[in-house]
Amino acid sequence: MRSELAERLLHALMDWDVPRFGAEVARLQMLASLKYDEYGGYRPGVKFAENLARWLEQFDSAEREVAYAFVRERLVFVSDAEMSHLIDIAYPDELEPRLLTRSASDSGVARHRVAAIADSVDFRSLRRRTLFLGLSDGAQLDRLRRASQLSHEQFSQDYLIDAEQAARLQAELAAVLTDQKLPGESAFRQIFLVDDFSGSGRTLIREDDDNIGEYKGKLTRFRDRLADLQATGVVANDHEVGILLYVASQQAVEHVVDSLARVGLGGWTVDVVQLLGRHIKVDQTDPPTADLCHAYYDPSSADKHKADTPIGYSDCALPLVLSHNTPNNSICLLWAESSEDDGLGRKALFPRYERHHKDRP
Amino acid sequence: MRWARYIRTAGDDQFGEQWEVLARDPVLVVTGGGFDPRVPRALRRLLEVAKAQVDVVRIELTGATEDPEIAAITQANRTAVDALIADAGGTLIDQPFPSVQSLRSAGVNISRAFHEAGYLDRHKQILVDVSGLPRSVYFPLVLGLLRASATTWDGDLHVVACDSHEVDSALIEEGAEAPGPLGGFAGPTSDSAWATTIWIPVLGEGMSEQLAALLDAIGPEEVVPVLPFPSADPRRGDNLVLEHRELLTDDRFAVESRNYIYASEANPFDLYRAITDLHDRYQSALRILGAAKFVLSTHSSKLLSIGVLLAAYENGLEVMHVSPSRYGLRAGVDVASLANAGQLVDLWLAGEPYR
Amino acid sequence: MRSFRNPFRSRTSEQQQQQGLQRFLRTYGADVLDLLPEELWDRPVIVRSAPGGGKTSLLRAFTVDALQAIAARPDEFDDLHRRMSDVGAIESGLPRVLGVRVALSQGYRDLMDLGVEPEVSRKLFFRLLDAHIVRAVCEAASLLTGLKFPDDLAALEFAPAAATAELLERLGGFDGEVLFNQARRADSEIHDLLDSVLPISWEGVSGHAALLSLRAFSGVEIRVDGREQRVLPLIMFDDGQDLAVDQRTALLEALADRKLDLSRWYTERYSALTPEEVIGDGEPGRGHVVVPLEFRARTMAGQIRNGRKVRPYESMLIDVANRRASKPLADYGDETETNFSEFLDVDEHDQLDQRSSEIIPVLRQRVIAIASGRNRYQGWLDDAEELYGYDAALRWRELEIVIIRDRDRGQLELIDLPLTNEDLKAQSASNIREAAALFLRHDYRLPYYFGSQRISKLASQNVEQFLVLSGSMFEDMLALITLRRRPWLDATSQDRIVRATSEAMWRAIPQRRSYGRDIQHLLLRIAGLAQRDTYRPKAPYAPGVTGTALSMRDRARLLDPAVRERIPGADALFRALAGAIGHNLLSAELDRSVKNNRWMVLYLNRMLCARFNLPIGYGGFRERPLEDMCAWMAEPISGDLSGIELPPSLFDS
Repeated sequence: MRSELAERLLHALMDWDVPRFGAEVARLQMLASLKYDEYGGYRPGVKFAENLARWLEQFDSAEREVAYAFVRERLVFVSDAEMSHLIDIAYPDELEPRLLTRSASDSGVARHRVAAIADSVDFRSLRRRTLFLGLSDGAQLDRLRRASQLSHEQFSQDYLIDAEQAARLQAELAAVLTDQKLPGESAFRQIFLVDDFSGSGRTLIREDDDNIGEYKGKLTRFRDRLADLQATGVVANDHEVGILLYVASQQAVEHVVDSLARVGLGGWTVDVVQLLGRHIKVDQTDPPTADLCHAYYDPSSADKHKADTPIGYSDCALPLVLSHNTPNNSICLLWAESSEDDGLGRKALFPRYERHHKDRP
Repeated sequence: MRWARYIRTAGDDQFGEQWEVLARDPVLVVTGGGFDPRVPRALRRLLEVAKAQVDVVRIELTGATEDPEIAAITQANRTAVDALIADAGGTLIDQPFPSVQSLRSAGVNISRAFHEAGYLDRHKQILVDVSGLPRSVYFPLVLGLLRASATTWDGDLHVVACDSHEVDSALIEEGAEAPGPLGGFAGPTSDSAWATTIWIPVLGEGMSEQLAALLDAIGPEEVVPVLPFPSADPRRGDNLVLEHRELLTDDRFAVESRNYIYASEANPFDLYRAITDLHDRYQSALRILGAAKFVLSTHSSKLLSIGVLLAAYENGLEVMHVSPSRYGLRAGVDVASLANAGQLVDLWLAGEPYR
Repeated sequence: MRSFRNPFRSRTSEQQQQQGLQRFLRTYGADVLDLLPEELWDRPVIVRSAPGGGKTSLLRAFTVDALQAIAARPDEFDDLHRRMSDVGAIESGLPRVLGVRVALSQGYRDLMDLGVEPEVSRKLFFRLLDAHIVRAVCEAASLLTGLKFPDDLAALEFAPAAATAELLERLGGFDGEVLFNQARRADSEIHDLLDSVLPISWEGVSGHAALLSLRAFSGVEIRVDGREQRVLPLIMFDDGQDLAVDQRTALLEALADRKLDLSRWYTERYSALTPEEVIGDGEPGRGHVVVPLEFRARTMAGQIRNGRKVRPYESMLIDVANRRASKPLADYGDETETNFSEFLDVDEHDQLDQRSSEIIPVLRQRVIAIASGRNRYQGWLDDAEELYGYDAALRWRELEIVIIRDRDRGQLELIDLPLTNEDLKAQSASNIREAAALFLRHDYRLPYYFGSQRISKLASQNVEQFLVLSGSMFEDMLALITLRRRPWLDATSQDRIVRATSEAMWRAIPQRRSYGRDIQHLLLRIAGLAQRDTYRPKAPYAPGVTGTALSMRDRARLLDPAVRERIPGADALFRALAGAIGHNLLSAELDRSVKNNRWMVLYLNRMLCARFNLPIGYGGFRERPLEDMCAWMAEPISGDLSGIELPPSLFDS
């Protein structure tokens, strides 16, 4: 659809006079070209403007004002460029300071003497003995590696790294330590688990509904794997584990920290580059939009992986879109599309690509 | 890159913990004699933990204000700082505001006078509290100290800012002096042959007048705006883009998506790195055409402004500025609550960490 | 989504590149040259205006590359070409003057703050200014002769008149390269001094005892590879308000030097003047030719210059707008036949649209009630009954004013003989109809500020102010074009945009101006006074009051510091008045003779008139004694004045 047509469609849908129309289109143009048009969930050729018109059309005119005001005032869209920036600063500003602190306490040098610490063989050894594991594709470990300028052989896309790869990385580590005359055994002392986003923290760790007091999720799975790695000597006995999230909600961080403590992993650290405070939750700051979510929620969006989610999985009520996909912790109006055949035919502003989809083989 | 690794301490408690150790040796605090309600805060915290002597040099600011409310806060700050130092038994020296014809040259004069007074001969540890100082003063002052520490002085230099969005937005700025470079940041002489001029403004809320004045004065071929991200409010960048839409869509230099720089609003070293990287990239890409002229300007918080200062210092860049001719406080602001808003952020810029 | 370019949003005068130059010349209003005095080349010319008044653009048009472009394309730039030829800047298809712009905003003032004797500061000032003049002349001469700057400067030769050879020698020598190199060294040496954050070492620093370059270039012959270029140097100093007082005095003295044999112009904002000079009339005499741009723009229409009648300044503004908008209108909206200004000149009947039946009967009833059955007015009433739409509304409102005025005459005159249409013409006039239109806006919110004539008047002779307003109008036109409509901007939209622009200007006062709140305070009082007298039922000063006045005697008292010390508020008034006049928020006319007295009349900026619902002609004013004005300023003010509406109740209905 030509964008001019989409704009005229908007005019037909919204009850705006000419100046308001001019001003709103100018605003939309600005953010569409800067961010929204890059959304990965759009089919080729589809742009934000026409999707906005299509989305607004499903509401009645009073609801449309609410929906539009949400987009105008509250929508948080993390663009590719912004996400890249979060990844770029994660190592120098979040992770390396942890390594410097640990190295300083190992060697008894004052923490503030960063140049001296960074120059020391102890630090260089620790840095090389750090392993980065991706909790999902979103971790974009390639980018993180480039920003940190560390070795290929310290990164693995799969947090449940298999024995073969682990052995290979360990062998590389041994060779480098010898080569560069760095102290320490050839086992990893520091592990960072990396993910791009956490909305509720429940994918990372949650209490098992079937077994009260038991926990499951990626972190507990990794804990089990860690035991093997330690047993085979890939990971050193004095290892430490840190979790790095590029974007996470306050709710997720509290949940993860709390759950880790309950399962005896209180020593694991959690670092977030862009924290989303509670003040952005839609149900608390924008009740009319939250009401609209309940009114337009289509139960056919529910499946065995998630229950009814009008304001998002685990009631996170996030107004958030990531450029490659919309999290299901965001309000359903943003992401939940449903078909006319077995559902209510709801349109989404940023349709979500579902990893678990009932129609997909 | 001088500050590839750095020491930054955020939070009042952390500030106290840090100085509990450092203030076993004497400290010279440089503070502003202005009306900003944050003025006594860092000093108070420091004195709570200091074991060695703490002296203060207070830079007087222009006193010309008829607003009784402002005068009252200025006086309250004075009294508070006087009392703190008297209790602690340190010395307090007031450095007068220089008599100048051009407000722009006040900053360099303040810096020269500071060095002429010989403080660096006696002090090995200096903490510049920029909370109560305007950019036109702390840019040259900190620059002078960085220059000294690169040559003759081997002490430790800290800058502390109380970063608070509440206070920043409670300030009214009146009048606009003609645009000009900040003292010490005039950059290379104007008649070098430049391949192109690139303007990097750090965008802030409500500064469109200043931005428009700078745009005309700089006449850039390219504009690379800086947006705060990560940020406590993740939409802040979007809102700034919308607020300054007119500037950003000016057809003399279409600002494309890839032109934006994102920088953490809480960490000046991120912005410092970003500008330095960009500068390096441009200079090597444009080598054949000659050098690119970089002009920076900052319209945002104290912290991001320090990032601009560091990048300009390291790369020898020009920083342009439009000074307000009068400051004031927004009506109905609760001064007492402003004094406690935000948090102290200490940046250790020179000395032991970097040796 | 698409992005349309708004042609009013970019200023082009500052653009130095060739591409920017073409656009600048295409949209420049050549009529401005008519405001220049006859005598341009021998005596120093001082151009004064408020910011945005067009000083820098004027100088830009005389720079050598602009003159070259104009000379090369007489057909494309016909208006400019004709005027440049008339004044002698272009002759036989070539520039006759080597126009060089020297910006005075490059930190000269900082030289006063180096902590050295004034004598040393002055020497450094002259040396730095010499360096910049030399550099600018070298660059302009390169442009003129097609040399690459600065690489080919060695080919450039300056052959001095015998008496000035020694001066040129002192500046470096006779060829472009050595001159330029010495200038560059001086520039960078002084630049480093000024920018030093550490104590300065004064060893080996030197200056010039006088400004050398103007004398040195007097009567100089410029040669390239031995060929003489027939051009007279024209050095144009821009933005003199940025100099320190002593520097400005020194420069103006240097410019007045009778031995100089080259042209020199100088521009400054009113803020360069002391408050005494702003409220006074600038410094007199000294052999300068002073050009106050706004004043000339307001008063020169109709005079004959170079055999042509000077057009009203407003026509020039409309012209500028049409030129700027023509390409975007054609490109985006396919509008090749209709101008920007024509899209503003909407039919007056549209203003009333469906509200005729609501408004006209009420107005009619009111007039009939006032006429109270008197035979005397019957003819007028009958005539009004014939009209419809906005014309009818306007006539009824006009009659209301005229009849109220008529009734209040002496009883003897009120014989109940029917008055004729001729009588109405005698008792009313366009100013009363203007007042009636304004009252209709007040009573019924019918639009008043619309149409290209009023829009151009709202500019208050300030190009920038006009471009800002036109830009907002164009935004709405773009929205219409997006909707596939023709960009006719109805009167209501125009009125709304004017109000919003006026409001923004008002709110920017404390943001942009020193003592902005004092200025706002003063303007609020003047506007309040004007509003009260504009909206009296008899419209006594129709179309209304838009200013105030201080007697010349009171003005003299205000200028006296001893008097100011005695009267509370006088200092604040003095400052606010100087600030408001300097920034074109008030325009001052001195020595106006009215009611057996002489006055300084102070008119509100026309754009601000819109915020206060005032008319936009330069008509009535209400004078006030100095003591009253000082008392206004002595009132305590607190908080933000920007939100205050005047009078509070006026628009509540």
